[in-house]
Amino acid sequence: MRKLLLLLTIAAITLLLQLLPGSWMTIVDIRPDFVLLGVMLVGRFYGKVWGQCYGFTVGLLVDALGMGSFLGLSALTKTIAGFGAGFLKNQRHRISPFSYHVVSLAILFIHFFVYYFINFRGVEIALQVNLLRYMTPATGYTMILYLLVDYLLPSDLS
Amino acid sequence: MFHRFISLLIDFYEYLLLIFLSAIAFAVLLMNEVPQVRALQGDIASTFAFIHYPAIWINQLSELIEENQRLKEDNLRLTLLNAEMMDRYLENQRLRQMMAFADTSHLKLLPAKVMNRGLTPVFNSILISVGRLDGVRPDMAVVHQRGVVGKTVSVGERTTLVQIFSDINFRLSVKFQSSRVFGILKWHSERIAIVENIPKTAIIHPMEIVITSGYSDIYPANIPFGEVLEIKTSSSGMFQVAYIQPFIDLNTIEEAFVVLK
Repeated sequence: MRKLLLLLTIAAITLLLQLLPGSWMTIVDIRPDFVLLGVMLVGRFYGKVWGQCYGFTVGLLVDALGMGSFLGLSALTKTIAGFGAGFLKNQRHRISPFSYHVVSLAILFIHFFVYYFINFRGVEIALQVNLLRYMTPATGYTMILYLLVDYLLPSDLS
Repeated sequence: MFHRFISLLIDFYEYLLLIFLSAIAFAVLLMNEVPQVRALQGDIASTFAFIHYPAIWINQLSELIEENQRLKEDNLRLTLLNAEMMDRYLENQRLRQMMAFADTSHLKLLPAKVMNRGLTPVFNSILISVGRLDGVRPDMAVVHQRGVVGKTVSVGERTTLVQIFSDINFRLSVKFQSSRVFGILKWHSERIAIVENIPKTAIIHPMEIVITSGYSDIYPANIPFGEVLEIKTSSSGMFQVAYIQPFIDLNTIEEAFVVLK
């Protein structure tokens, strides 16, 4: 019960952050994904199962609240991210900080790669452009915030 | 054998769950165009519209002083402009009567406030503050003083999701105002829209205005969209491609109008 309440709180806070600072912090159409940060944290604290279930649920909610053309896309990408973040459970002090952050970066990148790849399907935009213009900046922007949040939070909630 | 299968399931349940959830997400993705799914989405958006209120309240507060100043300036400018426009309007009416033209400018517009600009990393929708109770239905045009915004997609009781022109599935039948060439406009990227498959014989100039053609059941004719930035030859070499800069900056839009027909 306590865990569910915590997950609901994380979902509410990240959705509000996405709505307020998320829109103010938009730089040339790239905005940090606070909801993804929440998914990463849940995966990191509670493991793969909770990470992917949380990612799926909150992703579907984001899709339903947002729009339209790609209902289910955030659910898919955030499920994958939640699953990936599950590999980081209890690993913060077990593996080297470099490996830990490379894995985090890889998860974020896979999330944005799948997201933008499907979102821009059928558009005359080269994959290289997509990578440089959207996928990499979005990953970098969200990673900076993730590093900050990850540094501030304890390594284990228990 | 059965026990082995069960132990296999238990060993890999995390991966099986991933496959299961991904499959559901894929299924939802594939059902995007089903009307019932759209209707459900509209209802969910309407139910959860309250989470946008803090953002709207803070935004409105911070913009109030600036908006007040801007409105004062606009008021003065519009008062002066109004006198001039009245003259032109009367002249126009006289000319219209003389030419027995039907007045086609009487669109029934429903004003709406933009409540949010979506939560997804890609900006492809807005939520507006009118819905089914105000007479809004799916597939109605949404416009702004400066031009086309998009069309209604999912209609809730008091809110409506609008597919905006930066969505890559958005299509708009347009014509180039001076050259009278028709085409289908779609979003490209980098705040640019394109019209493809323009015959090479068509002469289109940069800065030419692009307006709705009126051939669509959704968008009335002659609503501006943007202006031509440049013309290029298509990769096949058989056609031209026009790159269009929209008049509206969707990041700053605060109000819109639904065309109720």
